[in-house]
Amino acid sequence: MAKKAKAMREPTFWILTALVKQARHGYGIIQEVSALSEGQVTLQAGTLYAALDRLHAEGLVEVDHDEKVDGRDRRYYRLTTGGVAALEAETARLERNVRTAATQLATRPATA
Amino acid sequence: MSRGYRLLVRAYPPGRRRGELLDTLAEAGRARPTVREAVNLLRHGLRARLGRPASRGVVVLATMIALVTGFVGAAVTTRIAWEFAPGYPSGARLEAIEESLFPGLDPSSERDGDGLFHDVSERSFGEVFLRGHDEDFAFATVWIGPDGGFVKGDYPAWTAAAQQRLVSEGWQVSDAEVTGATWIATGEIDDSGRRFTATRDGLALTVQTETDVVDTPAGSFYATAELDRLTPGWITAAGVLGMLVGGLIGWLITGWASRRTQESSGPVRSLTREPAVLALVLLLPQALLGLPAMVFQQVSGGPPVQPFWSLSLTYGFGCGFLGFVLFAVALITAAVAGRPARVEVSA
Repeated sequence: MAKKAKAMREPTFWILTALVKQARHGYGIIQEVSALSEGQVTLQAGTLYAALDRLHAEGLVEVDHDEKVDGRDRRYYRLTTGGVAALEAETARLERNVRTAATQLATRPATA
Repeated sequence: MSRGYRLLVRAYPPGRRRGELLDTLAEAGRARPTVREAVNLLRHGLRARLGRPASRGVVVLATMIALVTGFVGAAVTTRIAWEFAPGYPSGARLEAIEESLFPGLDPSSERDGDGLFHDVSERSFGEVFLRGHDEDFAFATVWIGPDGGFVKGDYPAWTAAAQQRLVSEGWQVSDAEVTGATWIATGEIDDSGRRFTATRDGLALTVQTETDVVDTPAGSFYATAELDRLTPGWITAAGVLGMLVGGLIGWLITGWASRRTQESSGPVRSLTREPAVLALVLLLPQALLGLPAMVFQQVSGGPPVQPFWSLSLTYGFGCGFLGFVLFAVALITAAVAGRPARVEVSA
């Protein structure tokens, strides 16, 4: 029996989405998530790095490169092929859910 | 970057993550942490200390170990704190209490332990370390009684008069309750004595009269009073602080062992995890019984009979001892066979 896909947490979904086009560092991800979600999701730094640690352990993101900026450590992350696949699966799951909900709403009897 | 942020990122394990966080916060233009940010960084930093980011099991394990070490921390700090508590009254102060209770009856008092505690078997420190305390281990107490133990007269009337004397000397006195054997058929108490408590200046008296004591002369009753110390609030506060510090130490040590063994071979991970889990089976019940007892002792308002950790040094001593040996096995394995978590270098 195929393993049932688990719903992704919202921060996870947006972090993976923010990394689709290019590798990004911490603040770059926070900015991109905020822009893509039209301000709906504002990641706290602690939440972001906890999610990145977990995604790294699950093989969905990997380190792209390190930089030193004004003496500060900066690390860039990118999606792995597993990360792309996981995001595609989640997108498909959400699309199915949206389709189902839209169909149900279209058949709703009109109220007086 | 503010000192607040630099302190907060220390919740994370040593490594470049601290620098990454400071970079992110600096880029975001953050000058001072808000409460929400501080909680977020502390929460995720302490989680990061455990390593194994995709594992929920390590969080459960660390929480249970923190409960055990928190219990140990509370026990150690309250044990030390009691050494600084005001002692029992002696000399004229004690004689005044004796005379208030049993005027004209040549009263005397006897303490049942030299130190803080009473242990029938009077075990030395070495014996306690190897065998624990006797089952009757409790706080030392002072017994006060009239000469010969018996008082002539009517015990309800004497009890009421004793309550009045204590009230006039500033004691907070409870109502007297009827004591005696319970009739099984009806559930009624066969009135054969009275008991009440009185408190003043951190001391508690429990006064008891009985008529069913062996060899009680006709027209007399047996009377005795137990003098105990109430737990000062600052000892409980020290216990809570000890619990938090102990819990944090347990969490950090679990994190250290977890990070050191997260990339180790199967046998090394087993030799760290299995002894720790077995140790929890032995120790967690003691912590789960002891910590509520600490709270109860404070809220009950009465004097503590036994310290809240007494189970661990009496009936639970063997389990506790073995538990700490197993924890030591897990930690020694992590120290000897584990290795610091690998720092990933960029491609």
